[in-house]
Amino acid sequence: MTHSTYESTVLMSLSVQTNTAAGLGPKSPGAGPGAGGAPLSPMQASKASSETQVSSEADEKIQRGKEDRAGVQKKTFTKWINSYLEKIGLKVDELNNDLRDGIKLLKLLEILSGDKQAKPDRGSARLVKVNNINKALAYLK
Amino acid sequence: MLTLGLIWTIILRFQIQDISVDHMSAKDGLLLWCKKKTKGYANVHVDNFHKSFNNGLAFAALIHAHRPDLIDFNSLDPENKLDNLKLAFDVAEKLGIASLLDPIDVAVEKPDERSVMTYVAALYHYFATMKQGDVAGQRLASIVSELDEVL
Repeated sequence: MTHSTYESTVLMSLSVQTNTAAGLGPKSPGAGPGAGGAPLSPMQASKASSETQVSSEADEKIQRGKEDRAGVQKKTFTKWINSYLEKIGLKVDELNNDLRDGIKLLKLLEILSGDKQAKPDRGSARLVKVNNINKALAYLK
Repeated sequence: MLTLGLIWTIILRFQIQDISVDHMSAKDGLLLWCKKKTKGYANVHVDNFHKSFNNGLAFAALIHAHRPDLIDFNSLDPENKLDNLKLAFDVAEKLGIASLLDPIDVAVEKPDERSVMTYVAALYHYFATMKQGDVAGQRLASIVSELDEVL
């Protein structure tokens, strides 16, 4: 019972990674250099999960606890962000994907601080996105 | 995960850092607020932002302390974790406090501390900014309605 929960967590995080890679542009799975932490292939994934089975029960329990907690945190934080973004008709569905261009992040900071933030740049170039994230980080300093 | 760290920084900065209760600030202040508001409530002992909240009674007590008209605290059973949590979150949502937590994620041995803190901070910001007059007014209204039942 608990074990299948763990496996579904692994599957979930896998599908997240796949989405992330797909969201990066042209549909050429795994080919894009932008993929960064290259998504696991199904082969690697099953290897990873069988390795986890081998590890001691205690390790597994700790690992599962960490993954659960990250999953719960992700849910809570997404709802928290949306409780603010909905005021201006925006919404975040998947935390990692939806914040990566920095636009919604800057909007969130604008609502929270009540200050007009540096206007986010629009565009799909990596540099534009990095620039938006930098503006957000600069504000948090 | 990097994104979670970033969002937590934002939550700390905008929701938790500004909390101040009796010269205690931020996390300690929030914990003190919980202790003070839940003092005297049966089966509620707030010492942390994880295990102390897992049966839902602490959330219910925090709401009841400000709006006794909304929850019949004495009818709650500490064993009915999911029901208590759902009740507290539903009642708070009707007040306009976003339902950030899922009862099933909280009714575990040790729920996620950051998630619980984020939600408790939302309760704090709602109730602590409620005008003292409102609180007194609600208390009075509830006493009057109890008197009505007795008489």
